[in-house]
Formats: sequence, structure tokens, C-alpha cells
Amino acid sequence: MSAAADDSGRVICFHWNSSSWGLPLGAVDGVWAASPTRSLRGAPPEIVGLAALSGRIVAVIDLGRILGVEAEPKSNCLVRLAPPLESYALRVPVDVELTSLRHGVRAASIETGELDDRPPVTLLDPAVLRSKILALGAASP
Amino acid sequence: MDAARFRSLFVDESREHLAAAQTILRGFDAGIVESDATRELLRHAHSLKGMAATMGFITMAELAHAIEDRFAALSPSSSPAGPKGLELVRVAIDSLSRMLDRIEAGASPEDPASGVLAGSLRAHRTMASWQLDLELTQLAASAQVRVVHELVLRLASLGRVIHASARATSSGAGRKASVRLLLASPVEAERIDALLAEQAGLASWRRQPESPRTSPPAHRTRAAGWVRVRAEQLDHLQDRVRVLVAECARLRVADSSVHGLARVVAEVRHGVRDLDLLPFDHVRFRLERGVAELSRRLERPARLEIENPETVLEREILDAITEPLLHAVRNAVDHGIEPATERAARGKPPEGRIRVRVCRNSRQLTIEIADDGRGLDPVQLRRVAVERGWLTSAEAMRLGDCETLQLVTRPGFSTADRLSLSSGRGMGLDIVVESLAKLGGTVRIESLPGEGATVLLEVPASRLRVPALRVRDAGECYLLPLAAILRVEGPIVDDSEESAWRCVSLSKTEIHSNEANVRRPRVLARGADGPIAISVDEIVGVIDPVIDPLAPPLSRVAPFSGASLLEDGTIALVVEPAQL
Repeated sequence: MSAAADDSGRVICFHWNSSSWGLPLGAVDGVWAASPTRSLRGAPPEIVGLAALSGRIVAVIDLGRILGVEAEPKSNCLVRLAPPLESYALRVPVDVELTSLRHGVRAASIETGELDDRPPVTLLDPAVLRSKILALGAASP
Repeated sequence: MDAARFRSLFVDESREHLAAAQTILRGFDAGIVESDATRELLRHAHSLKGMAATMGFITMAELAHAIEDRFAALSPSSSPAGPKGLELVRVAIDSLSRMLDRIEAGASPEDPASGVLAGSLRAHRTMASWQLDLELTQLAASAQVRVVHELVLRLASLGRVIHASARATSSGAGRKASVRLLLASPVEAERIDALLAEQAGLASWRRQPESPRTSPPAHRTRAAGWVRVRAEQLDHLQDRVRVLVAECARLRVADSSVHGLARVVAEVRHGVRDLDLLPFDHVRFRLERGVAELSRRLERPARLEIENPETVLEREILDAITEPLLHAVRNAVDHGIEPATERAARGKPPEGRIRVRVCRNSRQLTIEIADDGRGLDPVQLRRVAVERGWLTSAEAMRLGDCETLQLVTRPGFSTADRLSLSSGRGMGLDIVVESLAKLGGTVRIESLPGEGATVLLEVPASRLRVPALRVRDAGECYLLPLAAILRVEGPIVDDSEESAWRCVSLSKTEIHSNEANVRRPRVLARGADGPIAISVDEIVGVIDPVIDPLAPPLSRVAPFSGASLLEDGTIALVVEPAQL
């Protein structure tokens, strides 16, 4: 059951200068202001540390780093994932956007007929994201 | 109230009645009979019958009814007519329990055994007990004795006279005597009446059921100081309390006057958490039944003993280990305990012994299942492993006895000469291993050939609630499980044994001994290869934290085994000194 297979749903988008990425809304529990994280010595570099969101401890993942996009000096926020990934939050640039995609294109631009000049949104498959998270640190000795 | 919710309430409440009935039956087994035990059983059966009928589960209601009738025929304190009678009731209660499982899964509750069971229970039920109160006509004492004697003999043809008591009073007109007899009889009441009617020498008589059936008292949902709580409700409550703790921590930063509130929140948090602890004894009945049933079927006498049944475990852990445990004890009967003749030949007592020992310390929970059966033979195990192609002969030869024993936990392993009904696929220990792995635990086998085998289930402390020492180092907070700690030293130390300890820091990997931060407090703990000294900035104190496991891949990062959200909102990492 891949939420990404249905690419016309509501999507939460994260923007870096070079690229935009989207995650199906169903895979997201909520968006939180960045809170201090507790780092773990010896943890894979993609994992920023632990944060407490609403009384729950979650592992904070640097999404940009996983996707290989260039880090920018932007302020961040935390996107806590929905079950089965409820123990994780993604650290993303603070300008998250909620939008609807149709065939990978913002629905609004289809309706108005005006294609916007923003970069296209690449949809992330939560299942793929999950396997990437679980595999973190496994490759490095 | 919607149907699903109603059904789940029904299942919960029925389970409660079944559990109570099982406790009473266990009392009968142990020879402990509370004065109103039978009446209590009757009440539980009655409640089950009523609830099942209301829900439209007719077969279930009928079976409960049969149990009820079975007990209605008994005096309040007698046990239900020998082991055979008890066994039947037990089987019926198991059948009810299976029906509940099916109802809970949303299926129809039919159990093929239930009709036969109800019939058998009813066959017993005709053995009703009657109390006969007789007034004898005024006769000479010797004549009265003859009358009673004759009556008892005649009644014996209808059943069994359990008890007789007489009271005589002499008056001027002669001797007045009343006799009370207790009769257990399978015949209809009319035949008893007819017999009494034609007995000479009786002035009057009265017959009544021996245990007057009192109408069952109204449900007690609060029996014996317990309150039933749904697991989901408890989870929800715990989750809400976590939020409360977090919110309170934020408030505290903003306003120092909320300390009173913070204390209450902390107390609520601990209170709610302790609701989730259950004594190990909770699973006793299931284990005993598992052993008893298999032991009867295989005609291999075995007794289960549980040490430290009062040990409390987290509900989640107890739930997760019940099935593996059941598997392990049944395994012991099936593969460990020898047939009685073989035991006799080896000079062992005829009844096999299975000992379950529960032990928890702050490092781990260990459950030991030891039997005094035939044990495992490493030589034979090596042979099987080679036959299966798991090992080459050379590898098998090199394998130590201890490692060889662990082979039995592999899927599909079996050294049994026969396929047994209970575990046709072999030992099935792989299932136990799998269940334990989900808890981050392990399974270990120990054995002395001919003397028995021990299965050790171990669950790590990170999944348990353990007291821990809270320390600070380099501005960060850490927790050290108390059990791993040998000693705590303040900033001023006597460094006589200094050189013997490997010195480590939590914020740096290693400290050179000569860097020796003697002015810093140190925690002396058990490391992997002997004691270590953990140098810290500050020792804060002992707390009883709620520890969350780390999400993978962080769960693989040594030396951390968990994290805890402290009451001031900071996150502390749990450190395993053995991994430092």
C-alpha cells in the first residue's frame, strides 16, 4: 500500500533552493517548531538527535541530507511522521507548503492554466523513506 | 452504545468471570476450599450464562448453564465430586474461553466440544444433593435407632447418604427425635419422596435441595479490591499524562510558581504507570493448564512450580512472553520429561518437575524454565545438524557443547523420534526465539544430558522500568541503570585503587588515566571486562524514569539503550556501562 502511488492527493511540500519534495499528507502526523535536539555520539550523521514532541521522544532526521540536497542556512521545523513511522520527525526548512498535486504538478496551476516557475515537486514514497531511515548507518563501518 | 463496543465490554466482563472461576478451581486443586467457593463458582457461571444469552450467543449460554447446574447440585463448601467432575468443569471453562476468543475476533462462538460438554456436565448434575429433615414418631430409643438405620439402608439404594445428624429431646410423653440426612442421588425427587412416605416410624419429613439456591448477587465489578481497566484506556491515559508532563515542564520554565502543580503531575505520572504492572502470577493458570493438559494426554505426570510468582512485570512484557512461555513449558513436557517407566529406570521420581523461575533486576528480566527430564545430548544434536546440512562434520566437531545446544532454537529442528501432536514441527523453539527477539530479548539453552534442560528467556532492562542514576556531563543528561553501578564517589577520592579502573567519560570516548579527573565525581560501574570508572560533572540523584527504546537505527548505537523524557522536559540518554 503505497501512498505515493496516488500522486493526485494532498501533499506536504518541502523546499530547498534547488528542489522541492512532497510527502503524502497521510504520512504526516503534524508540523512542529524546531525544538532543541539531544544529539547522540556515534549516531549516523543524517540523524540530528532526539527531540520531545508532545511528550513523545522522536528521532530527528535531516531530510535534506538523506535526499542529498544542499543544506542552506534556513531556519527549520520538524515534521513528525504518522504511524508506522511515529518515532521519527523530519527536519526540513520552515517554509513547508500544503498543496494538491495532479500528475506531479500543482493542481492550482492546472486550474488557472498558469504554470508556475517553481521547481516541480518530487513525491516521496513513505515506504522508501522508511527503508532509507532504517538503513542509516548500516553502510558505514 | 454501538454493537462493537457492547461486544468488547461483554468479552471483558466474561473474561473476568472466567478468570475468577479458574482461581476457585485452582483452590480446589490445592485443597483450599473457601467456605462459599461453590456458590461463587455458581455465581460466575450464572453471570456468564445471562450475559451470553443477552448477546445471543446461545451455545455459550447453554454451556455456562450446564456449569451452573453442575454447581447448583452441590453444597456450598464441597468440591465438585472428585477430579473427574472438576476436570469436566475445567474443560468447559476452557471451551468458554475459546468461544470468547472467537467472539472477540468477530467470529461466531461455536466450539465443537460445547454440546458434548454440556451433556456430560448435565449427566453429572443428576447427582443432586438433598437435605432430609425427619421427625421420628415417639418410640423407644432403640426403636428409633432401628428406624434410622433401616431408612439409611433403603436410601442407599437411591444414592449415597453423605451425612447424618440426630438431635433427641426427652419429655414426659416420651422421646422426641429429629434426624437430618444429606443424600446425594441421581434419581428424581419423587422417588425419594415415595420412599420416605412408606417408611414407618416417621412422624413428618421435609426434603429440600441441599444447597439452597440463592439468587446470585448483583455483579460486582470491583471484586476483591480490583478494578478492571481496558488496556486501550490505560494506554490513552498514559499518553495523555506524557503530554501533561511535557506541558507542565514548559510552564515551569515560564513560571517558577507552578512547582506544586509539577509535583502533582509527577505523582499522577507514577501512579498511572504503576497501573500497568501485573504480577507474574497472572499467567500461572494458563501455564498450569498447558502442562496439566499435555501431561494427561501424553500420560506423563508432570508438575509445574513457579518461583517468585509475585514478581511484577509490565503488562506489555507479560503479554508478549505468555505465548513463548506456554510453548516452553509444554515443550518440557513433550520433549523433556521421560515416560514414567523410563524415569523409574533412571531412579527419578515418577512425576516430572518443571520449574519456572522469574527474576528481574535492573539489568534484565530472566525467566528460567527448567525440567528434570532427559536433557539434550550434544553428540546427537551435532549429528542432526550435520544430517540437515547445517554444518559440515568438521564444523560440528569444532562446535563447543554450549553452542551446540543452541542449535535446537533453529527453525525446523527436531531430534524427537516421533512427531508429537503438540509440536509436530519439532521443538518449535524458533517461535520462542522470534517472540523474544521482538522484545530485544534472547533465548538460551542449558542442559545436562540425563538430568534435564533449562530454557532461559532474557529481556533487556531497556524494555523494563528500572531505577537509574541521573548524572550530568558536558551539559548533557545521562541515566545509568542502578544495577550496573558498584559505587559512587564524590569529587574527593581516595585513589588507592585508581590504577585498577579503566576511566571513561560519557561525553568523550576515552580518558587517559593520567588525565585522571580526580576532582570530578565518578561512578564506578560494571563494564564488559571488569569495573570501570565513569567520570561525570555532576551526580544528580536516583530517579525512576520511563524509558523509551530508541528507534532504529539509533537502537544500534552503543552505549545507548534508551531515552527518557525527564520531568523538567530534558531528554536523558540511558547508558549501558557494559558497552562503554
